[in-house]
Amino acid sequence: MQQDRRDFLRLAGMGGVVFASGLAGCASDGSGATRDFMFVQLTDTHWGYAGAPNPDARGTLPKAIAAVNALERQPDLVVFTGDLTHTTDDPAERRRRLREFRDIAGQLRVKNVRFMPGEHDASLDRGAAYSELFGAPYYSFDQEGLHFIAIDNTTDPKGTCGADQLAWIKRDLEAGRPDRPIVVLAHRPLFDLAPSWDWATPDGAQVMALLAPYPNVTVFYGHIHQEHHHTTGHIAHHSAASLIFPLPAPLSQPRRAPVAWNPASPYRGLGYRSVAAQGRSRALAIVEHPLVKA
Amino acid sequence: MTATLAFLVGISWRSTGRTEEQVVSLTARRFAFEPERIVVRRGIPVRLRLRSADVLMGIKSVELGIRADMLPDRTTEVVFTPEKIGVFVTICDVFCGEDHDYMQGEIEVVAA
Repeated sequence: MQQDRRDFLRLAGMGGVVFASGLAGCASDGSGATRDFMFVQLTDTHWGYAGAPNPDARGTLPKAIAAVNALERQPDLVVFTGDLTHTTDDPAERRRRLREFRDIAGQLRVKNVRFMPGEHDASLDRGAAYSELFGAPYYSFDQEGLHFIAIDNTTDPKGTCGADQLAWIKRDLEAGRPDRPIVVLAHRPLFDLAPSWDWATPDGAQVMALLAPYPNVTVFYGHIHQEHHHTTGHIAHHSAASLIFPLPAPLSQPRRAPVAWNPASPYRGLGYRSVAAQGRSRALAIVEHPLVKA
Repeated sequence: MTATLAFLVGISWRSTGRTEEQVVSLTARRFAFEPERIVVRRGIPVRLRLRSADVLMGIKSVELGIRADMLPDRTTEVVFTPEKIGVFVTICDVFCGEDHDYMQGEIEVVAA
């Protein structure tokens, strides 16, 4: 059974919406990690985009970097969940945009930064330029008692993960304790959020089947340019706001099209999120940060 | 009525033994389907003849149960029988460039 979760808690003074979710109540990973750990998710920055839905396209990413740098509690990790750049047919321009993006992201005070491709970065050349500059499109790592798995569902222009990656995910999951806290990062949703808008992963059900036996899994993704929370079985999926323009709610209108820029409320719908893993349980607390506070 | 529909959307009709069939040619060209809207009749099998004018693309309609590649070098076909009257969106589901996200068409199903 799937159901949307809307049990948000608004906490005074946090500067955003807090969503307690995911790994709450999970077992310790056995590493003894107890130090509070915080990471920031930035997504869909689309560096190189130009259009009316964001007349400050070149200024938005630097604003986000500045906002993260200004956080009183600096994150231990920053993740970018794809569509770092806006697509282009020109391979040289694609590389130029990726390099510029990397230079701007390099201005983060935090130096522990992980990247993933989106279809705009990687689908037209199957990840060639992305891999030259950022390395493998899927990988895993451990930090502070959490096991992170970055899944690539964009270097294939059809959005599949593919058999090789599915086999790798299975091996990666089997290599650790079954009850360790697992954070999955993806660009496209791994469940059928809105297949008629292509907001899905064709073989996402196979990924979810691999994850299903593990009790402590949370998915963070991008692609849909808005905050969204959903649960499949015991696994929570959280998409984050974009940093270029918002998109409408899934299937809320006949066509996907960017939400128009509102000069009276610039940057509305743009933002990023922070996720804190707390205590031995590694319970997650999610805070949504608007790019510009109202 | 049949003649009017065929004129509007380029449908040809053919009999394959005992079964009538609607044959529609559809071309994908970054970033549009040509024609953008096709009209077919409910309850009669539709054979879509698909081709791309430039790069690999795809066509998908969740409601109609259609999914096929559209190739630049050869024609592919998908056959379905529309059972519900209405207007159904088709999208390109193979990332094809900057305006891929907005590439949509429509299949209108009318009474037979």
